[in-house]
Amino acid sequence: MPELTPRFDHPASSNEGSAIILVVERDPHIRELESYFLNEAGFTVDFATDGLAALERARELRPDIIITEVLVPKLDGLALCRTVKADPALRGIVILVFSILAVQSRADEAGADAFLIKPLAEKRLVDTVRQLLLIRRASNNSGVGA
Amino acid sequence: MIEQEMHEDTVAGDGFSRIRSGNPQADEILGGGFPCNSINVLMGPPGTGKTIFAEGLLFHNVGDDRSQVYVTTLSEPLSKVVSYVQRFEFFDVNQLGTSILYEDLGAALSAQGPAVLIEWLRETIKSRSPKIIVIDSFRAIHDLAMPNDDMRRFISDLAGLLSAYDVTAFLLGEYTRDDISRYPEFAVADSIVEFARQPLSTRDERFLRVLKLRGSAYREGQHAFRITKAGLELYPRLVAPRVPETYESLTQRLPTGVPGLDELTGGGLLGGSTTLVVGMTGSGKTTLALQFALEGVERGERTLYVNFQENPAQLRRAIGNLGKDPAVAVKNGFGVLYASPVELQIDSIVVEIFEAIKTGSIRRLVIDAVGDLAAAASDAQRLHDYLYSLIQHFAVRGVTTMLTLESGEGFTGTLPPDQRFSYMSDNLIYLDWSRENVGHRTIRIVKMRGSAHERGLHDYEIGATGVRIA
Repeated sequence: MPELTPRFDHPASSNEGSAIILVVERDPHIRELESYFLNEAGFTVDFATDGLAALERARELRPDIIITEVLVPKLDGLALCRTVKADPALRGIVILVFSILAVQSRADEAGADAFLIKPLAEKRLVDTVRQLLLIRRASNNSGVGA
Repeated sequence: MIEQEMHEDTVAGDGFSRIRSGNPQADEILGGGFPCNSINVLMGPPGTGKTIFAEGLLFHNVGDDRSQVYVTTLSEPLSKVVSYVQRFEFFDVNQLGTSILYEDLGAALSAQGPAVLIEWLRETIKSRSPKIIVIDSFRAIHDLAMPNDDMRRFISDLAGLLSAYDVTAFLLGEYTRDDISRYPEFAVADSIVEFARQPLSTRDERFLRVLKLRGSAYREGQHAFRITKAGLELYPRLVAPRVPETYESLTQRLPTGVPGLDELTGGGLLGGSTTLVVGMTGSGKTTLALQFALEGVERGERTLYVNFQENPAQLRRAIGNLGKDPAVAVKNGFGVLYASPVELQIDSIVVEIFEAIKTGSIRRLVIDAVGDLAAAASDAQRLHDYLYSLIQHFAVRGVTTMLTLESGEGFTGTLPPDQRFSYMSDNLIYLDWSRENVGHRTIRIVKMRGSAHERGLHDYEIGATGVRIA
């Protein structure tokens, strides 16, 4: 088997290292690879396989970012996004819609902070997550947002 | 909102991201290349060029920071594959072990079964970020005697993993057409490309055919290729052009250079038309066609003479016999494309002709003789399709063409031996000579599309300056 080597040139900063990411994904292959690449980049990753479980987990965990597929059972990713953004206690959570569907404008309308289309490309995913965290911190420091 | 980027160098005209094969003709056939993040089956018997094609693709895609992986299974040993690829010009030893990784899973597959492939792929994705993965031979995995339902689960799992990650996979195998409905990998494949080889006389002809390409237009039918040191040299099947809206039949007449013939044809041949000259050996077809070509050169028109009969020295002599200086003719725009009928490969010569008329400003063209093309074609229908398409391209580009056709001993002066050639030609000229009196030659204009012409038999002679209507 190939030897595993460090993936990213710039490991997460100490601030990023504390970032918690909730991944909402039903595909086991994508879950495993997302988990691997995000952990390698220094993030803490938790999972939900449907929208309702994700909402419950978000209330308990208060993640920094939710990465969600649109096509998840019980509550789809866009409905999850709208629900989170409508809840004063949760609206500060950054949402990245990461889907097989090309629904960028619908994700935008649902209040998502970013959109990526699948398949999974680790550099693109990790770079986007880091960028979102920077924006979120800048926003928190300036007192803007939730 | 943050949006994702697309890399322009891999985006085809239809907006889909593509993996280029490194072979411009193959990419043209595939509508720009293989879709990114797709599963592709390259199928065909051993020795048809699948491996060379796949390796050419790998070396072409070297360049960014992502690696490409070639894994052998239970068919050809890795050492053989690597040893053979070194003979090709695209091979670059500096890429081995860094950009291109070769792996042999044969022993692990034999010992642990197909599941080892998925585990290996998962770890390779994590550790290597591969952009392209080639599995050769994938069909051999079926030989590991798995029950059908296990095999289906294996393929489903494999397809799930390959689809989850940003990787384009190529599954190579010695599959037959019957395997397409039998093996589940064909159901998950986004594209299926077939490689085939068929014997023709003392040599083989190779063909590539796209059987499936999801969500994308591609050029159907069989496309001939040969294997060279550069890899696959492909000749995409020629299709008739869409007639542009601006296209109009030309009304300009081109003098033939044959004294008296213009009078029989209503003032010369119509621009952009195709004329088939039919006659027995010695009837003067080549002489007449040369006169037509040289007349164009005299008038400052670029001319291409495609010749399978006379070698270049013989052709120079024939031009000299007509009182012209061959060197001056060439200097003034007389181009020659010669191919020996023994080595003639119809696909390559047709592509060469097509490229010449596409890139040049050729006004007159002669093919001497189309019968040689027919003899080189394994499939008469394919030859007919080729010629029909070529003639349509000539017409749209305003190239006036003359084809010669040997009629054989049985020629009666009423019907050509292959009527399909005459149907596709605008004009038809018969040359004949009397069996009783070999010195008595006759010419007849059988048809001239869109033009009045003389219909009767007329005597002609072949003298020092060529064919002359008496």
